[in-house]
Amino acid sequence: MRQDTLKHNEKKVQRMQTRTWSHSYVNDAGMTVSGPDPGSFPGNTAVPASERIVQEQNLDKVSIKEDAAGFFLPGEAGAFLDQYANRRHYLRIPRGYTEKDPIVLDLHLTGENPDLVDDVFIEAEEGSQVTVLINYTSKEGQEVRHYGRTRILAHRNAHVKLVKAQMLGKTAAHTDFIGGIAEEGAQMDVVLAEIGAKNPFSSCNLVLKGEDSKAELDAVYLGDGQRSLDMSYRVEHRGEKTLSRITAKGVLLEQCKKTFRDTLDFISGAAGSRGREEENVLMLSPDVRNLSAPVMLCGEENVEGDHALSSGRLDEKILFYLMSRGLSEVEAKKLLAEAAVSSVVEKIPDESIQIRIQDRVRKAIEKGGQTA
Amino acid sequence: MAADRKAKEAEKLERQKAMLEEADRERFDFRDQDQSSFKTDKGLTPEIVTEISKMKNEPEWMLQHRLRSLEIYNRLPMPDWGPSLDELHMDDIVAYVKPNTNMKSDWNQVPGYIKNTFERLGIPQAEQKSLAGVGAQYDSEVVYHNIREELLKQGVIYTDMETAVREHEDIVRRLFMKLVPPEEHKFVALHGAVWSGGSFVYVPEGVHVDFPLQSYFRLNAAGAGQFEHTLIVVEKGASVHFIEGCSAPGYNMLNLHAGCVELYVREGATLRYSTIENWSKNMMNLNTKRAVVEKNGTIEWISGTFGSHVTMLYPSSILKGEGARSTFTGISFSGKGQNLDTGTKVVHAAPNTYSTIHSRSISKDGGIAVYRSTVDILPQAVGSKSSAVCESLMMDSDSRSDTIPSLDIRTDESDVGHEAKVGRISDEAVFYLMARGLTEQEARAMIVRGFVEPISRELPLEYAVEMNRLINIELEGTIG
Repeated sequence: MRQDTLKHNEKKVQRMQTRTWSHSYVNDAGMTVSGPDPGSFPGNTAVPASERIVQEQNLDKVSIKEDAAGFFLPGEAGAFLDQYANRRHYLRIPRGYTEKDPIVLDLHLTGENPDLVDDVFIEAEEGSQVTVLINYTSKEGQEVRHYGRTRILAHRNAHVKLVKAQMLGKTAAHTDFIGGIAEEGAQMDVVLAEIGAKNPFSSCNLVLKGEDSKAELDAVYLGDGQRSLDMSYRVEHRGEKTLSRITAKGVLLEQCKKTFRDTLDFISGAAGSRGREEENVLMLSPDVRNLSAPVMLCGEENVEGDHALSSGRLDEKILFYLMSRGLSEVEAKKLLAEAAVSSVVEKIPDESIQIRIQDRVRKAIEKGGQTA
Repeated sequence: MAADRKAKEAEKLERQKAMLEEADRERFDFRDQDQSSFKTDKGLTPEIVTEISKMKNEPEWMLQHRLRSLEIYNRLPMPDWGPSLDELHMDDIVAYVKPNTNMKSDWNQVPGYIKNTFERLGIPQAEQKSLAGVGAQYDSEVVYHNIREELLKQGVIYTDMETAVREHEDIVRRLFMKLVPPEEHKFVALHGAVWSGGSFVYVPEGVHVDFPLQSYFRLNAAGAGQFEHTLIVVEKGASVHFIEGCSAPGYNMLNLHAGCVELYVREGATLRYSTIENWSKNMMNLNTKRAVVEKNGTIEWISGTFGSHVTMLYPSSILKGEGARSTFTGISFSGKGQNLDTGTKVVHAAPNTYSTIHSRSISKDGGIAVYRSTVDILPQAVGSKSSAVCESLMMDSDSRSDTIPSLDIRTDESDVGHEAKVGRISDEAVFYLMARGLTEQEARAMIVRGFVEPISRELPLEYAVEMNRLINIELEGTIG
């Protein structure tokens, strides 16, 4: 985004760890760095979970030695979150405990409560396991704003699955930062669905600090209309024998613009580590703009890293096959687009959200995929 | 016994390494005494730029171009990406060094010490064996240019840029720095201000030049810059293979190379542009190369980057006509004290255009190898395809290997794929070869040679041998 198009509370921020040519249009993006005091947001109480989960509605007692979310978060924006968050959740999963059911935070923005600034911290003690699902929704046409930060600290051998489903209406603002740190043997699985909002701005930085730690980051995105999606996801391999995978599946239609940057960063000392990043983009309209920057940074000899990106239209032969079996072109496209994103959507542990995502994809194709 | 064998092998390797390093120095690092007939002062001023133009007796439009480029240079910022260029101080660089000879077309008329330099680099010998024409630049001026008689008869022009400005002014004025304008970036603007030497090639419609043309650029003067300009026009249905070689002796002060290459590939024409670059390791190599390819034309880039302290080099292709093609095959080998930032750019600007990128890099002894690329598919480029494969081999953990591609796709009717890998030599492959009787060192060396084979097989035999030799020199210090 050009500097002169920025609003008063927006700033051009660097989105690439390593800058490249300005004409590649991937280095920077405009982001909302602050806002007015959002006031209160209802329901800042304990979320439904078993009694073993320690909960606080503030982060006052949390000791943060390293903030992985800060990698993509400008200081000004961090200060805004620190000061104005109107939903704060600290969840601590005790040592060795497995929370069987997902802990669900349903955050619904409305005309009466249009501003949500949430700050969530999940701390999984040694050997514990938890799934946290955060679901952002708003009604179509409502001017609402979400600004958020979610942090994970997975201690030794803990396993945290974080699912964030951004299902806001297309007029909503959405700026989100995720950071995670995994200690020895810990695992972080992060599933991100960027489906709605006007110009979603999403960041995730996962640090594999301990030996044998793992990260799996699955993302699904939908771009339609004249929306602009900006995503920067990164995994840092710091410990030895760490393992990561980033997988992104996207569908783009109409005049939307998408910028997706994924980075694997193998730090010197991360011997024996392996990482893979993959993005598959389905472009279903002639006017979409699809920007990708699959970056791999390597300062360690004894690693294996690879990335793969594919972008294109639907396979005409398969489309023809489906149409010869009686499906209309739009129905065939819906079916294929649904299949393209299903492997990520299926990782969301809530069938109703899965259905709603696929429904949004289908509706977008009905509306904007006619010309494909 | 095994320990004895290992010790003997290590000793043998050390001996070989020393011999090869000596051979290397002897081959590329020898220096001639400075016998230049004229040098500008250090730094960059309008007076220096005007002086260069006057020395060359250029038309007024070229002087104005130089002065305008200087203004642009002074205005443009340094790049905010890529390797650090903090060591470069233009105030310490001599922009123009004229050797004490004019251009000749007979090696016997070239001053002995310069002729000797090019003979040691094997240029006259290669000319006789396998080339259709040769240009040789020494510091800022071309000292030798020649082309086979039969190509002259077919209308092929191969000469130095200064002669082209005088004798083919209509073409040069129309095309010079139009494809790479001075506004593009700071070092192209610098080039526009102080360019000197380089080659002009014109291949008329339908003419196929069966043997390659080669221009070799030698920078001898310490603390100097070389800013040669290469302009090639391959007319409709014609074809040519152009080879560019470059080297310099090592000094304790920085040298600068900021050349510019502009290639016009007309309808149905084919141009292969091969470069084997072995600058000394005190060189800042900030080079710009671009081709525009018309309908059904083909540009093939073959690029081997071995030398220099810092390189920023990204040959780019603009696929302007329907059915135009670009292939990029590149290798870089980054060792101690080197930061080689290389890659390519492709713009698909017409329907049904095709590009393939195949890049390999090796980094060792603290060297930094960066692969950087952009692939742009413009809205009108329907039916276009692009495929990129980028592989990096790390020899140790003191080194770095970064892959920084970006893709900008603006039409749904395109197919784009990009793959990259980074890693080291697999233990399994080494074990397999050792099980078949190779020592560990031999096994590793064989694997590295296999790694670069897709590049070397694209080169003419002599240059493939040269590239493998350069790799051997680099490897001997590493393997084992």
